[in-house]
Amino acid sequence: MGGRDYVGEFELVVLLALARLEGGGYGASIHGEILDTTGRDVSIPAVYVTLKRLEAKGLVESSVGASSIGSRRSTRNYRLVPAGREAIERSRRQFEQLWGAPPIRGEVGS
Amino acid sequence: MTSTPPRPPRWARALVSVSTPADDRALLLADLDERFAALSADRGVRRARRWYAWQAVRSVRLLPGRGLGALRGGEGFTGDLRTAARALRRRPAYALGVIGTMATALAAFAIVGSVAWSVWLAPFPFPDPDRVVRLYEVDRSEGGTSRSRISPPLLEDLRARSWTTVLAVAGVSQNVFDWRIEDDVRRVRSVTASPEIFDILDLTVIEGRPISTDQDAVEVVLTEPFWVRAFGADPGVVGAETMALNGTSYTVVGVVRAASGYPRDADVFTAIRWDEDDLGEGMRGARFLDVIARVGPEYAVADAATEMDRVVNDLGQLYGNHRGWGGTASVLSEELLAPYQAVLRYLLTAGVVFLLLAMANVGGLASARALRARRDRAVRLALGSSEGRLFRASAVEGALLALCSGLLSLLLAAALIGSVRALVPAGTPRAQDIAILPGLAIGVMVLAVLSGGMVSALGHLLSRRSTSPLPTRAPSAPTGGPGRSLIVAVQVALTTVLGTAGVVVLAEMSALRSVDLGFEPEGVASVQLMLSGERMPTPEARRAFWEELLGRAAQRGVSIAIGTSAPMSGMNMPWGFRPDVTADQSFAQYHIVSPGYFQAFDIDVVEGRGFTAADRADSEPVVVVSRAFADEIFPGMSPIGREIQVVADMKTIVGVVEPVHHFGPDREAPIELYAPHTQDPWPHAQVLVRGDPAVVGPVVTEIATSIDPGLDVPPMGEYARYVEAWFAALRLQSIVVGLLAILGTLLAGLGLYALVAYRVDAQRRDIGIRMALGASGPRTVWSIVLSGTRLAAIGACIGGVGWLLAMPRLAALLGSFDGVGARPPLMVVGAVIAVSVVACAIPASRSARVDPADTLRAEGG
Repeated sequence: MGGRDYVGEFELVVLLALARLEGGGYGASIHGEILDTTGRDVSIPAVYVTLKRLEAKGLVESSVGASSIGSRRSTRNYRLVPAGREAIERSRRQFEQLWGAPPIRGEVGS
Repeated sequence: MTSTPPRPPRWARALVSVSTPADDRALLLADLDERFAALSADRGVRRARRWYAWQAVRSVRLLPGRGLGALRGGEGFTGDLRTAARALRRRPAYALGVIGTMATALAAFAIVGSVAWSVWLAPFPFPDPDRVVRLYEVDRSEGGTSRSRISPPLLEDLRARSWTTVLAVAGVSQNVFDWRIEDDVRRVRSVTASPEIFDILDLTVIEGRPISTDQDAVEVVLTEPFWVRAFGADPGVVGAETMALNGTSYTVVGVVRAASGYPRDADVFTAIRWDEDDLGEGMRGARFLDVIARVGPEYAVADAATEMDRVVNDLGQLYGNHRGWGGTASVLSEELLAPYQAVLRYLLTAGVVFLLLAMANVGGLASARALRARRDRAVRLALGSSEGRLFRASAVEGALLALCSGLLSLLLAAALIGSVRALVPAGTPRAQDIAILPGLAIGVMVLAVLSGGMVSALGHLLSRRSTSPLPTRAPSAPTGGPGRSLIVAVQVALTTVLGTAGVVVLAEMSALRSVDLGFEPEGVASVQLMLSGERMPTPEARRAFWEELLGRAAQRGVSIAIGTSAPMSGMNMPWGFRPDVTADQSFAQYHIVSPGYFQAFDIDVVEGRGFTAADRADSEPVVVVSRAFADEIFPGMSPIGREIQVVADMKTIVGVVEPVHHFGPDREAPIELYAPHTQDPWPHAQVLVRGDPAVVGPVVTEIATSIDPGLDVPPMGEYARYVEAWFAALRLQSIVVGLLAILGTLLAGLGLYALVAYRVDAQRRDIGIRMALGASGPRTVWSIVLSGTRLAAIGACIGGVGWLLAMPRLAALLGSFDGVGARPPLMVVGAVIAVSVVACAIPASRSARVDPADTLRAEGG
């Protein structure tokens, strides 16, 4: 599998948060989603960087529009594209395979 | 009611802005603001601000490599930076060693440089400071070169004269006035000087004009800070306002920009005014005025000195008081700084030496590290890294170290400079100007970068020596080649020399402190009074004033004494006398004193008697001489009952007192003559009282002003202030060398520590193997401490010997080291070795914690 298909742990978190936000989301709302569901207070700049990377990989797409929460300021909205959904599914399968394999040994890497 | 919405920290916003690419910046900031607003509403503003700050910090962390920087293709430098930071974190001993050493030395250099610049090297703030000179009279009798200040009549002769080499001459004295504003009285510090001072120092008049040369004008010129403080910088006061100073109304005629350094601590300038009596022939011996002059542009200071010599010589034809005297001139700024030059030179030398030592240390550390990094380098080359890329990585590591050291040193220097300023004794010229100079701070950063460059260049060059890629085993441990050991030994040696110099200066200081001055200044309160020649023109009037002052104080239970030329107060009054009428004239320090003078200063009467109330104007003229006088003039016999001629009168010696170190503990006590104030009443004297100035001061002021309401009575102070002023330069010197000795020891200790720490790190494998083979922990530690200490001991001994060899040269720099034996170097060698043991023991103790099992596992691969 090529580098473009592989998603890192934080990329997966961002993709999943985006998937949970119906109709897409923007930096602050994705940050809020991650915070609310996982309790991880990630930094907004980190979310931005990740979104950029995901867009470069073709897993999300963006458009500049109005912020969802009442204000009139413009913001960049991100949406999952089918490749993004596939990447999430692929990661899930990989994890399930790994978890389903013979029991994990107490000492990893000894 | 609307309130302004909470704002995120400004710096954090700025940080986010600079660390974000332009195209996303606005959006990101807007997002952050939105979350910030939500968070403030939810959890409070403080929490939200903390959150925002944390976001900003993390946005910077994102910059290298995978962050926003990666999108700009900036993997290179930031990646190197991250690698370097990680490498240094992995080797804290190395990083701390380099940063600690460089930061300490650079901070010391910044402080030393700032002090030296502010006090010594910065040009005095008047134009051509090299042309502003102080004029002196020189006692040329018996080939003497003893310089004296100038008497009022001579000052006026010098001012009136048309000079060839000198443009203007001014007398300068300092006073404290009472400034009465309605019912309030404030103290005003005045420079009371001849009006020419404005031209000589080229003081900038910012409002109005300088004091006029008209003798009858009663004018005051304000200094700028005082004008701001007292009048709110109101230009309207000039020409309109008057100041009631000591009961006299002075018209404010101008405002000047006060020069720092000379004259010191002035609020206002007023003109010196003399009464006819001040300028009488008798006053020609009262040499107490500071007189300055400006040398013409086409002449040298030496020309002015020659002319001054001729002027005084010529006056010797007219007045007995100048007979046998000449004159000289010397550059004012050099004079002011002369007592401080030696110590400042030492300071600068030590600062530079420390810096070189620190660089040597860092070089040593870097070379050791480079040797250790060979394997890492080989691996990287094998993996396809280029030579240039490796150099860049090592340069970035050096830059990072340099940056940290430089910044830390500036922080250290900025934190310490206030304490240093407070430590500088009050008498030091321009001490208030001491601050870290921006230029020097930049210089420090440049030095830091240079040393960082040295570290990286050295590291790179040394690591290139290993050419074989992927050696089969780690290179032999760098146990400290002869080069590095030499660096540490040299450093310990230099520290020993500096430390010894410090100990010797401190010893000298304490020796001078313990000199018996011949008088006891502690517990004596004093004030200098100058009677008005106008209101008290005759000796009778002055005698009556002093008598009444002493008598009324005694009635109040305050026992006061007066003396014209009190010891160590800067007064020099050599008076002519002849042991018999046929002998040549000799000179002795002349004092006019009241009966209580010897008691007030606790000067012992060793033979005969002191003065009593029976010594009156009409009784037999008497004098008391010092033992030094008796020994020199009448060796082997008692002077009591002998008659000597003082100026023109024959006087009988009635007593002998202990000699007094009139010019300070480092000079021999001069021969001295005392006469009772009733028989030679002078217009000026120090009023001396045993007691607290705050208690007895008001009593003296009240009595004195009730006798003469127009008299200027400055506040009473501790007499010990004169002694402290004398010791100021020495105190600075001892503080400085003390601090430098401590700093030097610290640096050498740090160097040794870093070296041993590195050895332990580098030998970890060997130590582990040895311990696996059964060597005990303590024995391993001990052998490491021993090898480090041996090195330090060699260095210290070299330093001790070096001290003995360098002593004559250092003596020229720091003053005499008479009677300094081998004890100070031995003491310092001992102390240095003790510090070395500690410096070695700390890292060595880590070697005991090496786990042999780890080592064996690593060996097994």
